[in-house]
Amino acid sequence: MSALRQAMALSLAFLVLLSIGGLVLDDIVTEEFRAETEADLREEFQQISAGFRRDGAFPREIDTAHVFSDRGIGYAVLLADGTVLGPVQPEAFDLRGFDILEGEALFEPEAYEALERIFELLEEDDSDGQPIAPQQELFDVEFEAEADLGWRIYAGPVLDGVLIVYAPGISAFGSDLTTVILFFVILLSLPAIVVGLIFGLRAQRRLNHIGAGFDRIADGDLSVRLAPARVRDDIDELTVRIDGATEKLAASIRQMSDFSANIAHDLRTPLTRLRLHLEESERAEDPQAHSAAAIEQMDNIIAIFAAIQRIARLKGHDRRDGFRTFSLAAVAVQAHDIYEAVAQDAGQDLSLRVEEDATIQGDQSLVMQLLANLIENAIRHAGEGAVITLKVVGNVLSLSDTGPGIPEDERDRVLDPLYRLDRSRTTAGAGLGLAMVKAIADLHEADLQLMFGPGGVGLTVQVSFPPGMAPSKS
Amino acid sequence: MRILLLEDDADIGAWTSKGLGAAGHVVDWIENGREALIAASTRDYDVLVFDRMVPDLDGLSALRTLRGARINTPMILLTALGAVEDRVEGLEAGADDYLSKPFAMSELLARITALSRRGHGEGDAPATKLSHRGLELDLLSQTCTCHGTAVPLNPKEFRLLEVLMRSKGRIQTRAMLLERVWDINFEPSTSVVETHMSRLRNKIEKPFDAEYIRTIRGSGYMFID
Repeated sequence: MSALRQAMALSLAFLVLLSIGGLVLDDIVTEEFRAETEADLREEFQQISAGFRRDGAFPREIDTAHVFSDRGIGYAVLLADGTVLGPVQPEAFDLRGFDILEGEALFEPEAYEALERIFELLEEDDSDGQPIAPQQELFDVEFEAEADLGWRIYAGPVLDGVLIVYAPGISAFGSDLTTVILFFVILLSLPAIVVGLIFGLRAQRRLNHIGAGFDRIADGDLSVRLAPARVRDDIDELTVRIDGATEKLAASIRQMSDFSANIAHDLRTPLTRLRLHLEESERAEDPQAHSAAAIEQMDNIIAIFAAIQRIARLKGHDRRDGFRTFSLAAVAVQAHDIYEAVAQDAGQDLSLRVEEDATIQGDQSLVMQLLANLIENAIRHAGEGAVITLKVVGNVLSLSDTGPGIPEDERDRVLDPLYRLDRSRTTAGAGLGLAMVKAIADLHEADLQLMFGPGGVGLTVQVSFPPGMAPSKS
Repeated sequence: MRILLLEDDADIGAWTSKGLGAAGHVVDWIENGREALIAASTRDYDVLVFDRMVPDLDGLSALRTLRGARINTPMILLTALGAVEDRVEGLEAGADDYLSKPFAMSELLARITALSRRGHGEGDAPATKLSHRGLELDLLSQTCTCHGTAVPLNPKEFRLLEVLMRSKGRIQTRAMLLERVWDINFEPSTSVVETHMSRLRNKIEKPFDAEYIRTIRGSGYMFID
């Protein structure tokens, strides 16, 4: 469930970050607001007191309609005789400088009630500027706040009295901002978690699908394919790769099981003969002949195993360290020398044509074996009267025969170890010749091609060695 | 001949030493590489037969140590089935011959016989002519005459006859001939040796009604002494 957990963790992290960001913002805004309010209060205080000083006297009364200035700041005055002009309690005039007061402590009870009502009504319906409460004109409110929150005041002596200016406290606005942020966090958290869940579940489902597929592959079901029809992202690409690996695995397992089946089949004959000869040797008049025949069958079996092992080692080994430079034509001449007579005895004609010699890098004795296997194959399968032609054209070696050839659809498979065409089951050989040729060609990074012989008759096997050095002039 | 056999497998060791003993050789059979190394460097043997894979110290390392100490007793290395590339490594390490398991006793015997002659300096002065009962090979001009009549041989037939004549009276197995005449280290699936042998015999025996080469069934061929 890691994908789901991850998605959830991401959603939560998002929310936490959002909250932190909100709180920081709240702090900054509050501080800014507080500083601004203080500056405003001080400025208002100075303007009003300057007005009083200019007049040399306090106004007779303060019109409640002007309690709040444009800036949302109201004021009240305590006269020398103790009279309070404005809706403020007398105790508030004991303060000096900045302070914060609860609404109840600042305002006259009657005024406070009116304020509360105004704010209540404002909250319910703040759509228009109509008087909405009977005493709204007491306060020309231009801000939104709650009456019972802290009010900021600035108080100081003016003439022989005390002036106090007040404005709704920062906590009013501040708490409002916190609420807004909290509200958004809660509002966002639900979709964030839902989106996280959806993505998480989708990713989880895909991973589970891949995991289940792997389990089936591990259980041996190599037909499992994981990639979707359309590849969209990295996970899809991963599944494509897994499919590729599974396919290769399936192919090599198929080849291996074919191989095992073929080994079993090919060993059955010599083993049966071996058994017969061993049984006969007890009873027969000529036990010597039977044990000699048994040894011959045993040698057959050993030869099959030796060839299988050689192929396995050729495939598994990197013998290129031991490579030397030699002439391809020289090996062809040697092979021709050896097999010309053998072909003749089989009623065939083996000829050699060197059109252009090339020097290649490789293991000469292995290339010799490659050629020997090809020639022996031709001698065995091409039939009497066949014409076998060995040709060297540069670094391309080819052997053509006029025999029955190999059907096109079987040309790849004859390179598999022990694969044999049905009709050749009766002829000698273990079906390892071409597999060995393939293994040797692969070791030399040579390209091996099976095709029709000249004129579409018989078989041509062409081995193209990688271009080596140009033939030395010496 | 005195032979030191290094072989860790009890059955193969017993079979080999018995077979060698039956052919008249004296065999010391040792199962451990270190002891074989000590024996080979302290006692005098005509031929060493070492298995490559033995416990303690493998045959190849023992061989290298011996050659490093300038002990040049001829050695045949025995190796597991099908390990072709080991052959080159073995020969480069100083082995004189190489035989892969499983092998026929006749093959081992033939190779031991061939080796011992080589080891004891057969033909101290390199011969330029080989002749026997009217058959004559001139190694310099690469020509063959039988009772004075020139016999046209192609190079490989000449080489085949030369190898046989040089080891007259001793068996040359098919595998040995393939190696020595055609430089082939694998088992061909067609009758390469038989074909060439019969061509050679058609040239040197038939026209002169003589028998020079004998086929030893199940083993190989021998030039009759």
